[in-house]
Amino acid sequence: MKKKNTLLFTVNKKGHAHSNPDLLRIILDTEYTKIDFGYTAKEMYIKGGWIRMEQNTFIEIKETGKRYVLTQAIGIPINPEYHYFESKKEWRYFSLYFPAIPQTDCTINIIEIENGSKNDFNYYDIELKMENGVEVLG
Amino acid sequence: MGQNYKFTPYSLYGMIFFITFMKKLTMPISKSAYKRYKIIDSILRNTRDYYPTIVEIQTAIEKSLRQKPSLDTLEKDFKNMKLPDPHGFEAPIAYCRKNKGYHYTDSNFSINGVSLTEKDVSSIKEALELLQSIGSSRVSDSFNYALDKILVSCKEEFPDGDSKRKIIETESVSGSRGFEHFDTFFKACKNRIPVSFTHYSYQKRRFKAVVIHPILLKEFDNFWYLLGYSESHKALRTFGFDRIYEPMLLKRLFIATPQDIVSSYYKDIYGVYPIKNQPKQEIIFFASAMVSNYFEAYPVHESQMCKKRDSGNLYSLQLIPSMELIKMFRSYGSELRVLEPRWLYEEMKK
Repeated sequence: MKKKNTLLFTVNKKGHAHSNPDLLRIILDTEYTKIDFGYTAKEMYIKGGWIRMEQNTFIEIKETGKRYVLTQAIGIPINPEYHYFESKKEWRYFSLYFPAIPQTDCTINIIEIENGSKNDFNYYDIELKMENGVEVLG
Repeated sequence: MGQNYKFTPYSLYGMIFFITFMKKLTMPISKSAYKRYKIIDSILRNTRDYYPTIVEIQTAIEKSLRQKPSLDTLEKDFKNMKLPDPHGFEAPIAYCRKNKGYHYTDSNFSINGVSLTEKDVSSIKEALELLQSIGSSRVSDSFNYALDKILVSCKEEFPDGDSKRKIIETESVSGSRGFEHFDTFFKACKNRIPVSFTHYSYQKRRFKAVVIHPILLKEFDNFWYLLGYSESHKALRTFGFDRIYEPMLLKRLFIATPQDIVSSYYKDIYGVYPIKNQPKQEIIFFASAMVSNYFEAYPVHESQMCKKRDSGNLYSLQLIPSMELIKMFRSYGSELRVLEPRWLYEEMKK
């Protein structure tokens, strides 16, 4: 298949726990990989609680085992910083950037903490079929 | 209530001209540069047998603007004016060695592209006044910038206007969330480009990434919305700008919605969000004598009928019930009572 500049995948995948953000979109660019998330503050936490990302969050390609470590986070602080919500009714949209992964069919895991708890933002077995990607106009 | 702007045929004509003209003006030209271009253009348009030197152009600009541009600046101006559309005006400026001066090689050329009649000028000024009044926070930065350039041009050519005097004031608050996407959505609607964005539903308190085939931008009650065909919903949907994150234009086949469906979509609804599973139906309400004055002056919908009573009026509407209708009814408190349908009567009591 012809390689394209930027491919967008609409995912809308829930995390492995109720408290995880929703994985919304994955964008494969030739220079970076961008993953968009949406988080809604949870009733069970006082004033909605807090969120942050671990610095060593990575994408793992299951077929090759190759890992791509987080390069930038937009809209969410990196540990040891926190984003504290002020109420249970808030929400947050954020994006994580990683190095470019190959634009070939693959299955990926997005791991904040390996073998982590349900509270960690881990996502498993996300299938990326290039034929489902839509080219983004520049 | 929605706001209506009345256009005369001339102002409509002016608006069309204005939009066509603005298409050329998308490059970042400063106001002062644009003023110089106008003067250079007016000099070069009227050359006939006269070929001004760069120093003569400099003197003319100094006389008009009371500021002397350097010769370097003028050379840059020539260069910029020569740039192709949309960065410049493709001005055919050339130096004539024989006559030792500058001229347009096409004697009919003007950066305005077209000469204006008095009616044109009048209608453009009318349209500009309207745009200036509704401008600022309502339209995008690039639109405002282009508008500024038109106003600069207008003031130079037609100095009689007192454009600072505001004649129309509309409700608008700057800094509305999501409004920064206006340009993207406008482009997507105009050029029929599918768009991906993530949307946060206030009601469901949930994010969702969607692909929309956009149709139109709608303003209601000072809120902006995008109407489009949603791939995941397989139907037309309305999205508030304020709930949209990171729209991205997609290279994908556009799914067009027939115009008659689009035209009828908002026809029988007050607002933009219909109540789920509620068809068009008769809604009857009683409004106090005081509140009735407003309903008489500003009908909710073209179907509005009225039976007058001493204590107030009885109104009926043929509408698809909407969230905005309920909100509007509630805003009148005890001065308004919904009588039919029963479910809406119950809803109003909540």
